[in-house]
Amino acid sequence: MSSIHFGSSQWGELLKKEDWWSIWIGLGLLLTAILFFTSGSSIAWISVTPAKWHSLPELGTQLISNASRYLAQFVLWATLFGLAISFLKISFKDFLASFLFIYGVSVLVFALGQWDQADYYNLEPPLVALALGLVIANLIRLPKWLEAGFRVEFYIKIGIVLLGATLPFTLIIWAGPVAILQASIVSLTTFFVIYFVGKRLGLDRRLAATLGAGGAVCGVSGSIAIAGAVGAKKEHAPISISIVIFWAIVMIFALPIVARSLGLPTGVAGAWIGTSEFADAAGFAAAQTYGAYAGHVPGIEGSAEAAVNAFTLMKVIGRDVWIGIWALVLSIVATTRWEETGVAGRTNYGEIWRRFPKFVIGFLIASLAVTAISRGYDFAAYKSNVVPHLVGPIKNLRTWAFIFCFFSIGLTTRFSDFAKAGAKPFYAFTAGVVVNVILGYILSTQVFVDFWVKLGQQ
Amino acid sequence: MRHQEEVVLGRQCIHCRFFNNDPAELEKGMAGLRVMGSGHSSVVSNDGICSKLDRYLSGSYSCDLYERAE
Repeated sequence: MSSIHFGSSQWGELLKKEDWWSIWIGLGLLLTAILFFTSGSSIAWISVTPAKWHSLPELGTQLISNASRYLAQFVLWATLFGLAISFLKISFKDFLASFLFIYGVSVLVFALGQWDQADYYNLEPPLVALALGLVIANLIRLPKWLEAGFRVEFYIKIGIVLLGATLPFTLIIWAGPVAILQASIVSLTTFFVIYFVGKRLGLDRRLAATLGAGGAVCGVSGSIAIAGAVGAKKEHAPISISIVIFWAIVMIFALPIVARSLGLPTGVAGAWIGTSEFADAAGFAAAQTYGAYAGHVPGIEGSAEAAVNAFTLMKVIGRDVWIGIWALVLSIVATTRWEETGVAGRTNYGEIWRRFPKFVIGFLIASLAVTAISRGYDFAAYKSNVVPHLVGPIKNLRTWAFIFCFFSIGLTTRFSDFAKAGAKPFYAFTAGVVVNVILGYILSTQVFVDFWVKLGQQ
Repeated sequence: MRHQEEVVLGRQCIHCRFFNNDPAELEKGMAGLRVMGSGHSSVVSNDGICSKLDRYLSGSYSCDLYERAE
């Protein structure tokens, strides 16, 4: 057979991993925005988004009058993504055609969310994008080449880096420790519930650990990282991935609905979603959906941003960043205590860094940079100058990146292609889901409730 | 799986002909990986699929069936 090897050169990774590309693109956009801002201008022109509208002719007029801005924005995204895609060895030609499709639909989804009746019909853009993608993927057989632009993780990582620019660094320092504490309690409990229920049901230890990490740490990424670290059977990761995706999609819809029926404040709901969603992209869809209820649904307190901020702190800072440590510990356990597989492994502490989700570095730098710039302004000047000319345009670009992501989740979720998981892995994971959701709810709404409510008021 | 002392540096999976860690191949071979994950992600590190053992494992591992890739 022919083998293919992508070397492990650390410097090479700077151009070969999408985590690094999300940093280059996210921070590149932020740096450009800062340069424009400090020279008395703004990137607001190119970060255009659909405005509120009442009638279709009104929408048509605003889209046509801003056509050059949307065209310029498409060229900007296509150029930046295209550059990264080329280094990731994905066909630029295929990507461009695919991204044109994604961008076109995203404009329509974004515009639909701006309809003045959208709240009444619950047409939140994340859910509409996801549902539309699911319908297309499962009812229409799309050509393979069109899939080149469906890069869920890439878009969400860029969105997270841009999100850093809208999240004060002081808030990360203030809320980070509590998020880590809450997330650690839930992660450890969820992992051990899935692992031991899986073992009890007779599952291979490596499959049980792969499932456990999928539920406890970072969904699909957690499953794939731990499957590799423990040397799982080839079919273990796809089994875990199928179950993670199933529950992640259920939670995108279920968590906002339940939180809404309970009237949870946005910060509290964001924290709960952060502990009980299984994938970053899915969680952002749920958190952004819930944030949109603020000010529109009676009884839901807190700012719209608080749901996304609390989710980010909980999921990214509280759970994602620890994947390297999980991988190292489980690889040591697998090589020293579990049954032999014919493979030998060394304890390699460098794995902690190698598996570290690097986009988090971009997220922190973006937060630090905008926080430092904002220190020179009092609150009134911040609201009248920094928000409309720097933070606002970056937030708009972030929203675009998230919509590309949500639509791509739907487009890539073709249920018939997934691995058949079997009943036992499903039961083991579901046991973890039940414990996770209940524990996450108790910690978010009882134990740390004052903290998350306060976050929502900032 | 055996312990660390038995790993022979230079004979790790990453250099073996049976090992494949091409991100595109991983995404093709692992159903659902692209939905909320990626073969190009940092968390994947240098992991790949061994066609000899039918395992998904770190490129840092090694085994007796090692054959150097050309």
